[in-house]
Amino acid sequence: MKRIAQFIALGTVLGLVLSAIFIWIVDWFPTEGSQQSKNNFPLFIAITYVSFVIFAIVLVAMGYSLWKFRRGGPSDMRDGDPTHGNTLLELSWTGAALLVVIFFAAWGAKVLDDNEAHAANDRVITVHAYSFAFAYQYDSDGGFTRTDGLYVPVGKTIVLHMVTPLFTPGTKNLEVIHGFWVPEWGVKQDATPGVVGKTVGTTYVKPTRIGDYEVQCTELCGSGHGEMHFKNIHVLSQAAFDKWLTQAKALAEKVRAEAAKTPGLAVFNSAGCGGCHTFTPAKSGGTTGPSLDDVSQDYTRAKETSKTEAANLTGFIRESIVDPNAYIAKGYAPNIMPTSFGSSLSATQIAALVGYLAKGGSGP
Amino acid sequence: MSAHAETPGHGGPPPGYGTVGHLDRVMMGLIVALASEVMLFGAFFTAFFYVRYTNYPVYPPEPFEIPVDSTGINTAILISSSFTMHWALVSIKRGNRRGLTLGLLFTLIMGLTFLGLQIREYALLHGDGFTPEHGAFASVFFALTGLHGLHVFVGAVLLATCLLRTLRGHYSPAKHMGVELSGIYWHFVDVVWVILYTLVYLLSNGARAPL
Amino acid sequence: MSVVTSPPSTHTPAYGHTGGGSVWTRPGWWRALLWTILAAALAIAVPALVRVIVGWPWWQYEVMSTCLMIATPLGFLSGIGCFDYWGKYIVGSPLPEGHADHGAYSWRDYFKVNTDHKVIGIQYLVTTFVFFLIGGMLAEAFRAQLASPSNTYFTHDAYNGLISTHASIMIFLFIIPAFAGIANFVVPLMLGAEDMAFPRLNALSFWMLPTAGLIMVASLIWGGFNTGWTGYATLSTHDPTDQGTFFNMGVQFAGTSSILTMRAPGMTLSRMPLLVWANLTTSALVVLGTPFIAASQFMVMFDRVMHTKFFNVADGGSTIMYQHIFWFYSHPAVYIMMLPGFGIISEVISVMARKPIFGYRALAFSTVSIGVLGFSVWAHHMFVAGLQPWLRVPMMVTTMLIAVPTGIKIFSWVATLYNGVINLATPMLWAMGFLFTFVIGGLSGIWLAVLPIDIQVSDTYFVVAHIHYVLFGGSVFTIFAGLYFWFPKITGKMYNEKLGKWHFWLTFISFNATFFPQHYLGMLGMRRRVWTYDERFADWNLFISMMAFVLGAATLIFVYNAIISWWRGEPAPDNPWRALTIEWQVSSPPPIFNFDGAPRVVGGPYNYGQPGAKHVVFEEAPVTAAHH
Repeated sequence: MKRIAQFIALGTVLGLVLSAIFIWIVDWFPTEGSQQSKNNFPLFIAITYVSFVIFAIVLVAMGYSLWKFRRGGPSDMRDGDPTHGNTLLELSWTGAALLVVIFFAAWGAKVLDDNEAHAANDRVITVHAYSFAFAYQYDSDGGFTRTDGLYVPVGKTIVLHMVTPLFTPGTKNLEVIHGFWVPEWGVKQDATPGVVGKTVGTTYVKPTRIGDYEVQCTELCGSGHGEMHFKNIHVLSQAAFDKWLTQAKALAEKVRAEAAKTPGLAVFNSAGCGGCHTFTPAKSGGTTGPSLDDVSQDYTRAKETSKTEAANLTGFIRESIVDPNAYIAKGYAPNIMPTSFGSSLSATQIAALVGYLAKGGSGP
Repeated sequence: MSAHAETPGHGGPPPGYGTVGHLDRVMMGLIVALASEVMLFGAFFTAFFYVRYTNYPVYPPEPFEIPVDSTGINTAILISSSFTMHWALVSIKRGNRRGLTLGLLFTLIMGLTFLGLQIREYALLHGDGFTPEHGAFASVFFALTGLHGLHVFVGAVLLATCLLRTLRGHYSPAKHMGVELSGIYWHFVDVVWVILYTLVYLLSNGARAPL
Repeated sequence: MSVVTSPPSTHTPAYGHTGGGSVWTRPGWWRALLWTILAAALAIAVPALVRVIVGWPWWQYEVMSTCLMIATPLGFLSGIGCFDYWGKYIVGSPLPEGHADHGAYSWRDYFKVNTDHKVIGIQYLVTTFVFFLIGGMLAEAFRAQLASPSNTYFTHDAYNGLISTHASIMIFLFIIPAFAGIANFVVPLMLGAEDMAFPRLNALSFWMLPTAGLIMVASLIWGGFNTGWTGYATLSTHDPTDQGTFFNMGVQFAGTSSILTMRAPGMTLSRMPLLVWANLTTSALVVLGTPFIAASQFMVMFDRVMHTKFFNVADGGSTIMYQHIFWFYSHPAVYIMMLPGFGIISEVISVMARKPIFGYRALAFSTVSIGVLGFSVWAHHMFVAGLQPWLRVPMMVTTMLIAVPTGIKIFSWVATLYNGVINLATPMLWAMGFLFTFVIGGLSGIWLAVLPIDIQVSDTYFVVAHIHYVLFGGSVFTIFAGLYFWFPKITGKMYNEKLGKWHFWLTFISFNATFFPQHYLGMLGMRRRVWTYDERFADWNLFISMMAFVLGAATLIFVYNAIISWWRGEPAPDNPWRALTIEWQVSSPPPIFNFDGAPRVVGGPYNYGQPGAKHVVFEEAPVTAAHH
């Protein structure tokens, strides 16, 4: 029918205009930071246009009908036109809908394939997610782990294995599912507790823009889910990355050597303290919890507000490990740090750890 | 079932009311309920398949043994009980009250025997340390067999009710819906067991307990 | 408020109304109280006894709370009278006469076990509305929290509890049972049936609803379960707040309720109104799908209470398995929440545009195909979960395919408007609002179906926007359309049209203002289920929170309108909309046994525009008191 053609024409124009306005004026795509994001963009744009056009056509048809065919008032007792259907029209719109979905399904599958392109010698990094921090293990570069963020070179594909350990480090608490998402990369993957290689999720990213980005956990993981976001994804130029890598490897070696002689540091590492706490002597960079470099200031503040029963710094550190909710540092929340270290770590371990932290790192 | 449908002068329901094709609505209700039960077992079978085939190359894992043979005897008992159930139904259709009573009685006895032997199996497995919290393979095993056992128990209650009503003289060749429904339910329970026994016991590739 | 549906003088209530034993032995609230207490006592005593015999300590919180949550609802349901008839039948006691517990003769009958589908329908609608308001208040609570990124009104666990309970209440205690309520009232009338096929089962299933509701709402007292309504293991199997059992049991009772209710009446006609097609398909979905969520919650409960290892990866279990089993139901669940609404819209649009529904066969067929296809798309909720890679593209394809029958429906409804004579009364306004918002919700679904885009927007506010566009802009708008449309039939009074229009416009505007910006927030980087967010999202969140409060206020207009109109509204004519379907050919409200003469269907249900067309005629038949 001529009318239908008019609806489609008007709707298409309206849809394209609205879409264009939306795309140009509403700045709603995150900054493009990866090849994946770049591959997604044309697909996003196309779906935006098609969605707005479909919406506009329906709206035009609806609006026109509601205006033209409204009844003449409560006394208008007429009935409408007794049409039951129009086979050609129904087949057409079914066919059109089918074509649109097949088109986007095919395009989507292709983009997915492009996004997962990788080579056998690409750098592999395992992302360890746990409650409530991320740690990054550089498998291709010797296997050292960083807790202060993810450092990657621009322009090279990285293979990211998402892993959650079975237990929260240092405890007997079963770990839960976490998610890893960097919006500018267009990359998201859940880390599910499981045996590596079986239920681990793997995703690929080729960062294309140097800068600092934020990673967020995207799977509700308990009381610390809201805290689990860190602006510590760093994309560096190849030169800067190479420099960083050399330093990182050296640092890792130093820490490994020191941990062999310092039981306190060994416990610090095995219990995963560095994932949430920055502590310069241990070269850790976690930011979920307060920095342990400031532990004596925290003790002073705790004593002032009578939130601690500890008689000295050592006692305070011990209390903070076995009863974390007794004193919460300013700006942090209760029920984020596991409360079971008192039972999952042995007395010797706790003593070593406390001593290590109390002496600013040079303890037992 | 409803008194008013038979009351004259009501301007009652049109012919065919309360039926779907040839099926009485009560029968239809049972079939819908059984469809639901099939899906319930389906969900637990899904869990069984998932756990069994992704995590256990050998099922059951060492050192456990699965009692295939003794449960096989139990399976034979349950299958026989379906035959006696069928005999009971055929009897009442022909007006043979004695056949109905005996059929129901034997079915009930065999059903209870099945349950008894299952409980014995559970006790023996428990003695070997094979308990539901012993690993996912045990959890799905007990969930499936336990769910089935629960259904057998319900079936036994249905059969006992039918038996009680038979002894009170309730059924006739024209009216024996209770027996029909209990029969269908009992056969359903039997079929589920045969599938369960095949998938969980016969297709296991670990050690088998001696008889 | 007049609820008397038949002159009381011809009725001699005997079952539980007068005499027949003391208040403690006849079915009713007093007996329910007594039996609930007894059941609670047994729920603690029996496990304690067993534990002592076996040699364990008698008290264990998880075991006791689980047994309590199973036993007390059963005690309540028995006490109030849901099982009396069957109990007497099994034991061989004399049965009460046929219709003693059928029909509403006074307001008290609405608080009893009543087998009249119309009474049960009203019980459902009022109960679900109470839960709608509770769920809505929970939303206002966390929207208050989200109004600023630095608010700390709730602890983290409490916040997680609020969002989880909000979703669970809205899904299981409002949307699904509200459709059951409308279907209960309307469908038997539409079919010319005197009641549902299993009236006693119907009554039992209703009473399970407030039971389920109490359990879920009670969880709030203890802080609420904090796993999100999806309850993913291992968070749900090990959540330290121990509230998961509330959710597990609540879902079981609500699920059983809907399986029992939504059985199709045992009568099928070849010219069924589309509402009936919709409810038939939905019933099939409920019956076949709900056992999967039941199983998933049982497994979670077993893991928590009995320490089984279904989802314990250390011991051979699998957390992804939970997601598969859960979503295998929960995806069809969204169609359970939408198909009845589609049926309602077909009825409203056809009547109010005075035109046959355009493409009846396509609409009926698309309803069934959505039901069937709905079982094939569940893993699209798991695209980022760590699925086997080969499963992803096929699931994308099936998900995209479902858009086709859905699109057919939208186009058919719009085509029904064309060349009609449109009456924009309140029900029609809601139907038009639905078309607007559901198209948006459906289109955002296309975005979510395309894998690479899903990877970007999954678990963000984009999904929250999509959910609410299809569940609020979709299901809830259709519930309102149905409620306004059938209000005169159900209550015998006309609702206030002016208030109805205010309700609609205020809701429509504030709804779009609340949820449309969430697409933007999600795309740009705001993830979901968080109590705070980045500073750059602050302005939009404040705006959204304010609009959410307006949305809540708009709903109060409806509550006021419903109450005041039911109580003192203008009496409604039998057929205010001049519709053809059977329910409009009887009085408003209908007679207790629905029809004074036997209905016989003689034509299609949508033959508007054909002079003299009839859908049903009534045979002459005397009704006598011998009826009882």
